[in-house]
Amino acid sequence: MVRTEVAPYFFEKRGAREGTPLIEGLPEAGLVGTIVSSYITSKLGGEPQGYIEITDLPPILAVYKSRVFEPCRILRVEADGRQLMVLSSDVPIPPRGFWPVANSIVEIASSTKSPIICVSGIPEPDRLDIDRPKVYYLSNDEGLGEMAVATGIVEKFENGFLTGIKAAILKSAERRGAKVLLALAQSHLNYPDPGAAAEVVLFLNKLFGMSIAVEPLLERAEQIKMQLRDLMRRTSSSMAPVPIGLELEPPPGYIR
Amino acid sequence: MRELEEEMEAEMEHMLARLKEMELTSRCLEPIYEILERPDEYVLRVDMPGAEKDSIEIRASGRLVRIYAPCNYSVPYREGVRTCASCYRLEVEMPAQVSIEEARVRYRDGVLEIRFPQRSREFRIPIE
Repeated sequence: MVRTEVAPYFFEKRGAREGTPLIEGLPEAGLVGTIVSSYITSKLGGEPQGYIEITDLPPILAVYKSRVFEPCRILRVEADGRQLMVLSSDVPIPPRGFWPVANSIVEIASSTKSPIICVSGIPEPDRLDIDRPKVYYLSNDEGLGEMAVATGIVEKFENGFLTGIKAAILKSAERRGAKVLLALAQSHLNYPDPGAAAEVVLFLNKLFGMSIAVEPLLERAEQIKMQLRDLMRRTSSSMAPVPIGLELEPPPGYIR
Repeated sequence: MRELEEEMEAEMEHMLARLKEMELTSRCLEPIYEILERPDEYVLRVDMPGAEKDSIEIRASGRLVRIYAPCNYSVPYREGVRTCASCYRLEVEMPAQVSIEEARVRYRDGVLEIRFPQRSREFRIPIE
């Protein structure tokens, strides 16, 4: 069942071109989405395009260089002649906010006919033994799937469970006919994972013909992990009711 | 259900605030950690970015494991709070007694991993 409540949001359509991809990088496993979205916006600079009110949270604002920002915001960036919209959040989305926030994301993307690119981590228990995490893709649109395959650096997500905000976005998108592509990198579950985020940035580079350098991200990996430890702790606590363990299990499938 | 959820969130918020306060006053960070229980071992993983491998001290006594390490980076705190943490300190209770002598330790990508073999006190009962 898809729940239909929509979180209040503000979205300025002016300046956003039709079809501009919306990258969703909300805090989840390994904070991969958070690292990717904040790295892209800090590298390319960004103009506020909108925000989503996280349902049931008390009023929170973030302050950067004396500028006040909504914690869950959409920035518009330009890279190599291409426009992107990047959604990130300074605070985790509580589970009861998944549906309203997901529905808002889909509504916003639909208003500009934008495909939604969900970037996140997929927990890998042996992540410590992996030098270059794999990136898996899944899409509800054939064209987007073909674009992902054409990058040559992703594998198809074949069997497993999806939980949390990305599952809500996929379900909500089906109802509205929105296009979604998931890019999930093998990652730590409970520690920030800049290495996994770097692989996702490389994938986005190939997908959109950009050239965002990932070396600074890898060189500063330890500092980034320290910077994000509080958000990681909050995200892990917030995700406690989410059946994240499912993402480590194979689905039972059909028994013939 | 909703009330229970809110109570849990308030408790969690209180705990996080207390933890932060403790870190600020002690200037020592409590690292994020996880304990995995495998059939033949307990795995303790501790996220300690910026620690030097050779400076990490690990002590174990009974079920208690204590970890201390100086930290190379200062943690960015909010405006007006000048305190910077200079070390990691963790005290964690394992599910059973562990021995550091038998443990295998590695530090990779800022994560300290200690594998304690499970000391089995069980014995096999033959089935007739």
